[in-house]
Amino acid sequence: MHLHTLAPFALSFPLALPQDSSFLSKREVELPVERALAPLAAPSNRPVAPGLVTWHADLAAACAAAERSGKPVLLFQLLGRLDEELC
Amino acid sequence: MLFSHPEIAARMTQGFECAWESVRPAPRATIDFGDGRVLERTLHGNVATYFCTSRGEVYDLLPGLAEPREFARRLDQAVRLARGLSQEAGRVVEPGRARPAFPGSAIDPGDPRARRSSLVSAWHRSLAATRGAPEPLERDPVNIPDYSKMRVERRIDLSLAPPLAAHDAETLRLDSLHNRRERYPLASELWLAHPFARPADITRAVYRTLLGVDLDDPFLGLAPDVLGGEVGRHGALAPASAQ
Repeated sequence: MHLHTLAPFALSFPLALPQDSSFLSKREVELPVERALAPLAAPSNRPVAPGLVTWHADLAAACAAAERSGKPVLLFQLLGRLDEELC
Repeated sequence: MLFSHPEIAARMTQGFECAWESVRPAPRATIDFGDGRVLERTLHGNVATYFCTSRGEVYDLLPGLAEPREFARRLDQAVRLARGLSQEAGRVVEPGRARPAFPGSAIDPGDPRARRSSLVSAWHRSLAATRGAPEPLERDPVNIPDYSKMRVERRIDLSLAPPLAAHDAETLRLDSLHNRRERYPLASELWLAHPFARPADITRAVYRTLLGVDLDDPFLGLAPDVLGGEVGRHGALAPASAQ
């Protein structure tokens, strides 16, 4: 059976997939390839630890801590987030 | 990553109350190889470090990336400046017995705020004067060289040598050199124009003037180079989310 003969059924029942054995075997072959390529095809920004430094939540929290400790404040600004892989 | 270096992280945590903040999402450069493989990178170096009082007033700033040794040196200088500021704030000067903090200084030595400003201004004026110098001078208004201390610290300095691939280390070294000759003196000029400002008040100027990044431009000033003049021909492009 050719795919074009299934077209009317596909329109009426969009979730009905052809269950022919040759289609499944093709899928079985392609699945490992898709899995191997997935991490490359969809880059994500993974969360990472922002180094070994002890960080306060924000500048205000650092300033409040500085009032108590007497230490100066260090504020690091960047494009992106320090706790993400791509920054 | 600089903040994963044990010695740097220890100096930062012991010497400062640290915080980080994102000024905008990171621009990403994506290369689609057309076969399902995609390489994604970000543009590095668009960072700034501010040293502030507990009231959030900037007294020193460090634009761009720095080698670990250079960064450690500036951390130490920032700690010394903070100590100097703290001493000036607590020093009581009797009227009539006051002497200028620096020879030739016109400030009122009885005014703690003026003394504090004079101390940091002297530091930034000395840095600003080194712009373009082949070997930036190591003038530090609150630093007295202690050679025995330097001998002890030499081992620490050696441990701060960047454990990078030779090419990356050379790139970072050249970037640090550019920072010392150009960006740091310009940063001091910016501080002198905005003494003890809050970081939020000078962030845009720091990025535009010192790092060449216009935070008000959705294309960060890269459009003419990246898009080849398309923006100029078709007018401002809307951000992808608005299209």
